[in-house]
Amino acid sequence: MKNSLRVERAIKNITQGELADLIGVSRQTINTIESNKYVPSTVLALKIAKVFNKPVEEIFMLDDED
Amino acid sequence: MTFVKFVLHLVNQALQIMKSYLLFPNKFKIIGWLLFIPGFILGAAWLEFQYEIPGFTLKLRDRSELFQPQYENFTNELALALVVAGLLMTSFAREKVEDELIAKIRANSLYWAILVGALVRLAFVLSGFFNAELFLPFAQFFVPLLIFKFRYYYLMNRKDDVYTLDNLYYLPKWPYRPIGIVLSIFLIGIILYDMYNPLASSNFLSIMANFTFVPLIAWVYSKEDKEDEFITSLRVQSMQFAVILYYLLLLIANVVLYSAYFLYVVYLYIEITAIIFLVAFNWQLKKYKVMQGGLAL
Repeated sequence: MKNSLRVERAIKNITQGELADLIGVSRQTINTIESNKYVPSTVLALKIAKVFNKPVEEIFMLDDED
Repeated sequence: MTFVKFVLHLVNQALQIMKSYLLFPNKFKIIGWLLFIPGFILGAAWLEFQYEIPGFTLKLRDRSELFQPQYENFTNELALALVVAGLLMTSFAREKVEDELIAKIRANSLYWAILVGALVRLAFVLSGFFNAELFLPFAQFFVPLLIFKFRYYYLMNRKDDVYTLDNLYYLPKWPYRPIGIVLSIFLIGIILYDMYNPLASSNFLSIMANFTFVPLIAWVYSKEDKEDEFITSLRVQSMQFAVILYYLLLLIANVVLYSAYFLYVVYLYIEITAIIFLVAFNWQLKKYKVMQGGLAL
């Protein structure tokens, strides 16, 4: 799975640390998700989508490998 | 009866810990090391130099018998309690900011650590046969938790800014599962037989019983037919539960059991953890399959 988290953050102009505080995870976890090293749980994905006011599938997309 | 109730209460508490990922506060990470290190030094001094804290003694009986001395010094009991409680606290303390990825890394590391701990145990047992015992059999019980600490630290700090999530390691179901089950049951039977007939035990089989953890680990680490995400999460949760419960049992045994029975609990650390895992995991798996069957209808 890939994601456009980094782009969304740039548009909204918030740092990894700020996003992490908003959804209650550590900054490294956000960074790990952005580097496509971790697929977040549905709950976490929904929380992230809520911050950006977008549907989940606009931020997280299936990869060819999935 | 009250003792049974007490144990059931503890089991219940441990189950709650597993379900809610209830962890110790962040401070316990340091407190745990502060308990472990002096405990470890004390234990090593007791094993190597027969050091006993002067006056740390209670009169238990009117006269001494074999394995039941009149005066009991509690240096070794104290060392074990410090080592186990310290490692448990530092292992299951939350991070400053705790989240699902960290919980997953913690659970996966623990699952990995038991497998590697079993390999280390194999090295220990084999070294015993070559008259070069690497580590005293009764001083190994904390090794899996120590391996876990290093693995967890490594995965959390390997790269700047990014955590590392490892894949779980499995054995194929065939032939490891059936061979594992048959050999485990056979060897556990021998251990139980030896426990109750210490003089009648046959030499060869008793030596084989030292390897009971090998088929048990093959049973634990062999894959389910359809090992999906949910089953994997049950697996790592059950292992976390098994490890916590074993070390709690060890702390209780430290107080209530003595001589041979206590040594069994200390020595069979992989076996007992594996058995608790198998019961917890299969019990939950069965519940899950019943649930699935219901949906299929």
